[in-house]
Amino acid sequence: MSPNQQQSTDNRPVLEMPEGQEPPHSDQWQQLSRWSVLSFTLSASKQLLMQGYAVVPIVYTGWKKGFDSPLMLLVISAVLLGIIINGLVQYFTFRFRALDNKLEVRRGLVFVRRDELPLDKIQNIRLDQPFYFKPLNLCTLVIETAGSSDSEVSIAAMSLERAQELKSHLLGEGRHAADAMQGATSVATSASTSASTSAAASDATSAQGLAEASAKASGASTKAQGASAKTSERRDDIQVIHRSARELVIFGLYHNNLIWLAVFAGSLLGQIPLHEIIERLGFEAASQWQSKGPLLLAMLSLALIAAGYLALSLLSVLFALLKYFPYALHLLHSTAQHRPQSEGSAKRQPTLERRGGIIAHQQDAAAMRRVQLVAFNQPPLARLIGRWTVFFHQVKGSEVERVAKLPMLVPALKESELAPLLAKLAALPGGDASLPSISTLNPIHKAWFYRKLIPLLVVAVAALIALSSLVSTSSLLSTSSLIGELVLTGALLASLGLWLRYRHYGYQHSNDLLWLRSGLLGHTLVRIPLGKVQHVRLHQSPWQRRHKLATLELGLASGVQRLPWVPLEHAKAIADHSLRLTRTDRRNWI
Amino acid sequence: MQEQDLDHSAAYRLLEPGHWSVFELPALQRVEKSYAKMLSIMVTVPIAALVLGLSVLLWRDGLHQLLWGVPAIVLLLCLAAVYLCRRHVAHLGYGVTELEIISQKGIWWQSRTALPYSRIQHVTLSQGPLERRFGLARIECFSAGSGTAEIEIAGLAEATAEALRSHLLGKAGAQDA
Repeated sequence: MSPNQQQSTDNRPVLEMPEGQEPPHSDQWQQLSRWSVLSFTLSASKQLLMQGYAVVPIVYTGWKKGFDSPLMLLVISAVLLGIIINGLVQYFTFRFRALDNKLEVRRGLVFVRRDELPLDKIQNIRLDQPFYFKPLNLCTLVIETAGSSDSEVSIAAMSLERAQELKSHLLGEGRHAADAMQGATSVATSASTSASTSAAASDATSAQGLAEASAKASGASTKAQGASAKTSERRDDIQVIHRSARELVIFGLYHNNLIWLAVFAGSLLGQIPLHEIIERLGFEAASQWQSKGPLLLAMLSLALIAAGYLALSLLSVLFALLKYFPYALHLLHSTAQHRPQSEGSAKRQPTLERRGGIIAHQQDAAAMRRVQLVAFNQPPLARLIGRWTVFFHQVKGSEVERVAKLPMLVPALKESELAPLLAKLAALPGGDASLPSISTLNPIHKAWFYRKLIPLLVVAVAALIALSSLVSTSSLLSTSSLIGELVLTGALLASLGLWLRYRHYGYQHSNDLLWLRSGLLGHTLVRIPLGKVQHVRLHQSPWQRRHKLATLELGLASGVQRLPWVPLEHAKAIADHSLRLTRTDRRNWI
Repeated sequence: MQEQDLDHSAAYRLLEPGHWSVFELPALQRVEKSYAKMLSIMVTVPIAALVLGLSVLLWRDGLHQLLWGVPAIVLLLCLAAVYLCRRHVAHLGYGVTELEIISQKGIWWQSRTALPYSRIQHVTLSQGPLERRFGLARIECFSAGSGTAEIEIAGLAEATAEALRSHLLGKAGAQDA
């Protein structure tokens, strides 16, 4: 943007927002609510605490000394002042405006940063309500676009109604409403506009549990009805599925991984005097037990591992509850009731919305057409209890849970709940298709297993032969026999792993979908809409060429999926099908 | 589009000649032969430097009788490298069809990639110092969500690369509102 243009836009009058009076979107720059200072200050403090737990010991020792050091007081007050000034500066410099096709955000005092988010590039929109905003009926709107991970804009401290309106506008609904205000002429457009405006209004209505619809929103809908007489569409808000606390506990138990710990507990751990605990409990006990023989020591360490795992599980359950309870997945879309001729333009985008969260109430919304692939996942524990997690993967780098890199998910589904869920989500890219049964999937070629097993065994045997020849010449018999056992165990485990992986591979190509299963102890069944494929690649080794096999690689915006060692004809059929679907399809696919 | 109207249910049917897919296209475009020369230089010069450095060490340590092997080793390694470079370049290929771009590589482990124009996010044309010396350039095509180029075509003549770039840019990406 040229300096002149910058100048001219900067000179526009800034619209001061009298609380509750402002328009949902206008081409004038808008300022944040004064409460945003609170949110800026708190988030800066939180960041400081999260990243600064290294200085906790220093503060701790300072505390013990009674804070009598004037330097300490000075530093602390300087930091606090800095945080508050930072909040004020952010509040005074933050400007945004929602135009018909993009959202513009300007911020910064010294380094002015200006973001333009084209509406059709917006990946998902999140409505965060931290606990301190609950009594104020405010929330923070987080808008993410495809691309780098920092391409995210948050608009802090908006009133709930306004946030809902802006959200509908950004999701491509308000755009048509704006057209209606300017007097759209064609039949198709006016049909879509009326629908979308009322959609925007009823979207605000649908936010029960968060807030009552404001008089403002109903005002918008009356205006819309004035603009075009009849609404031919109805906005639906269907609750697709909800999860009880018990199910979230189950989810926490089986989805117990270190990601949770890394994300949430990293800062906590830094503050626990871990060394002291270990010294007090672990080492003393270990030194006592050590004298009583290796068996007891092994049992002790097993017990420690079990206790650690249990602690992790408890944390995981706790976080699953805090994060998701009460979990509800909603599907928002409007159904065309009349005017089939204008269907193309009148059809609104179905949107998935996840609601829930105890500490911070959160609403994640993602347009269905942006979902790249759906993964039905079962970690090993979940297989034992027959539960599944369903993930909705979007373009890489714009996951709904930004910190944990977790896409939108449905936790702890029973096997019998999968098919009904999928049936409700018929608008997923790739068309309506039922879940294939795992036994009907095509296996990959058995050579995948043998061609990997043989080199492994050759290496293991060679290592054993080398060891035995070493034994005859050296006196280190016990050491080398131990190494031999290790080599044997390793080879055995690796062969078992290979076999399990081989057995878990499976695929099925039906219409515009490819189902692909893979796994080692757990397993994942992935639903790949071939219309979302970006690039296709066929790999062939000389052996594969001779036996008419190939490894197929499908590149999607959510990552690469590989289908190894399948008949060349199948790989080609899938690849060609993807190309047929994508090469003439000029619509935005991410 | 006509192709969209084809019967998709016969998923695994054999294709008739003439309906062959991009994975059946017999001959792709070759890249410039000078690219093999460039690659050979890039590979052999470090090898020669390494072996010569080693021989200086041998000389210093008085292992003069071993020095006779040095030219032989250099020659052997360089010949092998030049042969491999030539084979590698001979197996590089690219194709610009009406609706997608194709690249192919690999002497033994071969792979062929197709990326429809509609899925290209951006295109880069780059040229290293040595490539500039040889009048070569490379084209990289990126789609969404990954940091690496899905299609990389190295060893293009500058003019070809420039033409290809503008061709791709004209056709790339989603073109709706």
